[in-house]
Amino acid sequence: MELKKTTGTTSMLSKKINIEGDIQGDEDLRVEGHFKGTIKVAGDIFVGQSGVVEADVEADNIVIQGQVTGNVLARQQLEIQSSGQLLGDCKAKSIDIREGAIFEGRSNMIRSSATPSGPGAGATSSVPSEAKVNPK
Amino acid sequence: MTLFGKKEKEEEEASAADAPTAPKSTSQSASRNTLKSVPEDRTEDSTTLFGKNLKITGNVSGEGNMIILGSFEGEFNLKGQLKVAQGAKVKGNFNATSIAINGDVEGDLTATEKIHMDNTARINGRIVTPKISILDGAVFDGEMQMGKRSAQASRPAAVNPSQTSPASAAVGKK
Repeated sequence: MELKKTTGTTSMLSKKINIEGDIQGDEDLRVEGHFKGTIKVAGDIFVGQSGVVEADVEADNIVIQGQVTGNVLARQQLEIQSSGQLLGDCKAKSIDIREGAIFEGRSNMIRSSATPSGPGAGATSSVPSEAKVNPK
Repeated sequence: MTLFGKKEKEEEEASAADAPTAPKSTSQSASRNTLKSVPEDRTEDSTTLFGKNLKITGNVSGEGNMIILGSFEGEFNLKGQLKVAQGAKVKGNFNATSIAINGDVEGDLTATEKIHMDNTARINGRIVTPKISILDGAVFDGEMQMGKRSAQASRPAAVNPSQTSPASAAVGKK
């Protein structure tokens, strides 16, 4: 759908599956189940409508249709679709938040001029725009 | 009249002949449409897949089928079928309804139905299952238990003290 098909396979965490732990690798991942922990991939992450992620997420592109609680780093684009919910800070090169989406947290942009390395701790220069959309 | 009757019959036959084809085409197009419009329903039911380049540590639980192509380490509790593909490396305790192994496994495997080891399987650990199949070429180092529950497990435990006592006696001599 929104994910561009890269060369590798897309891993899938389906509904009714609970995982607590870490996921690492270079692959696209689709989450329809429940995940708790940390995700760090050199690929895209798609959180489907039934997906619940309580984790710090780091990926190239991140698309959220379900619920994400935690800090999110998208090296490219973060997209929160209308059914999506993000509770936590985000850092991305570009953000796309659709109408109806819920986002509570800080947003931080990766400037293309600045060195894109050191993404985790570097909350130094860029202006933290406090975007709050109340769910009710 | 007979001609008309024949024609009617022919038409009926023709329509009857058409009838099965027509629904087919509609059902095909319908199925195509559903494939296009609701891909998520398919994916929701489909198996969980952990790709080659994914490394997962932690606990997995739930319902459904799962295929592991990459590496996994931790506890595993699944109501469904687990497949460890060729090239995959898994470590830990695995509980599932049925388990099929083509890759490397280190740890305990427990299946409520069956375990299948393919010819590329390498297993180091303990297996508990009511049904087993091992193909030629599979490597299995460890212990197998196929009896009911821990009835057999208690027997070696009962035997062990008699075995250990001479050992301890031997230690005592030293």
